[in-house]
Amino acid sequence: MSRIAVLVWLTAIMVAALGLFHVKYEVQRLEEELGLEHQSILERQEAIHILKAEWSYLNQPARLSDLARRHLGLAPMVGTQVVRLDDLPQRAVQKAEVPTPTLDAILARARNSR
Amino acid sequence: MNRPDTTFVRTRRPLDLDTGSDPTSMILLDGTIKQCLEIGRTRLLAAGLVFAMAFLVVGLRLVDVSLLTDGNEPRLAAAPRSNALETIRADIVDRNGVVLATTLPTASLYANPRQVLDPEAVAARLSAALPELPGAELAAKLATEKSFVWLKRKLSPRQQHEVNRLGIPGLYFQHEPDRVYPHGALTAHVIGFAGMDNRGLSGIEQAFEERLRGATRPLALSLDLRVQHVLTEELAAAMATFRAIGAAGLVLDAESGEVVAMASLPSFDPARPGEADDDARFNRASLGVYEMGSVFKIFTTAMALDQGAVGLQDGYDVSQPIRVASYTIRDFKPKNRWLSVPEIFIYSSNIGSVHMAMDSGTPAQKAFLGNLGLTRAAQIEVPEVGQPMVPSPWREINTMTISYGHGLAVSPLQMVSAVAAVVNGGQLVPATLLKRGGGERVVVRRVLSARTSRDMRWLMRLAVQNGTGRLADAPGYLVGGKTGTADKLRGRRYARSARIASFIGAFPMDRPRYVIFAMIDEPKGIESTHGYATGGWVAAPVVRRVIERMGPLLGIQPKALDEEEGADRHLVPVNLKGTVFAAN
Repeated sequence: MSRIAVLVWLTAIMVAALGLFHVKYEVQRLEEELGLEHQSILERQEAIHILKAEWSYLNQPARLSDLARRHLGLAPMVGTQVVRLDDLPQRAVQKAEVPTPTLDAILARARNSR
Repeated sequence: MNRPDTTFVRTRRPLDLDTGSDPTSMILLDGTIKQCLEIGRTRLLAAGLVFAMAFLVVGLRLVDVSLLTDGNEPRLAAAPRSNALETIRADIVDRNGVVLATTLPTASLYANPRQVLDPEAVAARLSAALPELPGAELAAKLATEKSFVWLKRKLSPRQQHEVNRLGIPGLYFQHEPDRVYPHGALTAHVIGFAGMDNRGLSGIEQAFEERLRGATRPLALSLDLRVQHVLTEELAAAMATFRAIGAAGLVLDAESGEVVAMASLPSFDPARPGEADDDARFNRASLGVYEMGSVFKIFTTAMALDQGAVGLQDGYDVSQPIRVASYTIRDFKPKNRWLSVPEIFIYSSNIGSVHMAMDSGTPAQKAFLGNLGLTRAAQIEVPEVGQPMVPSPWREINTMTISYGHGLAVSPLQMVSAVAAVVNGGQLVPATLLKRGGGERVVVRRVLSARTSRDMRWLMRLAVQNGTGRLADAPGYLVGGKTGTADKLRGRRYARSARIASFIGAFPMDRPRYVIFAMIDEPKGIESTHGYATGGWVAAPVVRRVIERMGPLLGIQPKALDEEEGADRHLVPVNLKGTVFAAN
């Protein structure tokens, strides 16, 4: 009886020890991974930071207007080019000749759709 | 000696030490042993119990700590170490989030001369990669016995790559943060610059040193980079056309007091402030004070109307020049007749303005201009703020000259704040370079009545429609404003050839959103302006083009053109030379 108990306890200790080591190594591995991820996040953030500065530099208004003028043929907009929607003339609506449907036609369509 | 342990071994054999005693001693002895054993067992039990208790406590605590408790412990073994990139100095951005100043890591090149084997050869190869470093100087640096010598601070990534490619032993990089201004000279006067140790030395960089240092949250300014560009470009164009020595401009939000653009030309590269001369580093928009000339008639007219010294229907005979002491006050283009108050304003009559100021009185003028903030240094975030030159004592002759803008020198920044107060309904709003949230108006004080403000708006509109400021009229934007041309002081005399030409305007005049100021320093007349270098010819077109370009950018609805306007227009008639004009 006591021998079985000892055996059970020993096994339990072994399993617990193994489990403990397994968890420990797993945690260590994950921590390393986390550290690497943090480092890469930092690197990315730094890269984004630098790219933002470069983006701002490339978006210098003088440079953009020069590019727009040379490659797109655009010029600064003036107020007279802006028109309110209300100021637009009404579109001339052309009434097409739609025949008034007869009662038979309506009934036929209703029958078909059923 | 083979004596058994007497205490714990039970024996039937008499013990040596008891030999020769009486038989009863055996029983006694047996009893003694038993007693000892009892005591031992009790002690053992007690000790065992104590230990069991201790282990139980430890065990319970273990269960408690490992399974039940988690309140005191962080859930993660290591909390995230970095959520945001740590920079040593926060960014500065414009009102739309465009980066105006940022801190980037750069590499600085240094050498350990003791590890450099052949200084001559290394110097030759290095100066080939970095042409700005002279070879002889490098060789001398590398030949020293020191173990550390800077070769070049703050290399660009390309230069760093070039040096790395050489693979010379003994050369090292030190990573240093460096302040970078992506828009360079465009925002140089507002942002200022930081020194080698990344400490702010001027502008916003200096004013917000504490706020920027060690922070990550960017500082949002009220500037709009697009408007800043438009203003700078147009001022630079006017400067080139009229061969001027400088220019300044401001765009102010009349409602909130935010400075949307502030330009001063010539400008400088904030990355190399040491190479710029003092004139380029000088902020004409906030630090420079100038006698503004006729733009001051806005204040004279507003004061006279607000106090009831004159009404819109009143007027003065301006045919006679005013002689005071040794001065003679004349009009630039004399009309030689009676002029109404609106006419005095739109034709910019000095004589009429002097009459209006004299009817208001010196104390009133002093108090009115003081209320508008023109007699004290402007309140703004940057440290470069000019102290206005106020006459002391303020005599009657000063009242006369100040009425048309001579004898009181103020900064352009004070000018726009004061004009904003005149046109926005009469409330002085503190100017700021920081983005204001909400759109709530922060009011310092009321400086004139809403009625006077409305009258001034249409007087300014009239000056652009029919007066000296015609060239500022951007179609559809209802521009109003006033021109100014002032002779510059040279020593104690006014120089006829050196002038300040300016225009201050606001738009749209039915509900002014922006006040715009343009000032050209010492323009020379050219053929297309018939030799004139006055505010109306030089500065007014700048304001027109700025408004034409910034209006669509800022989403300001252009009004229908005058000839297309219907009958719903709010008319305020004014009689000029028998013709009835109208303005909103």
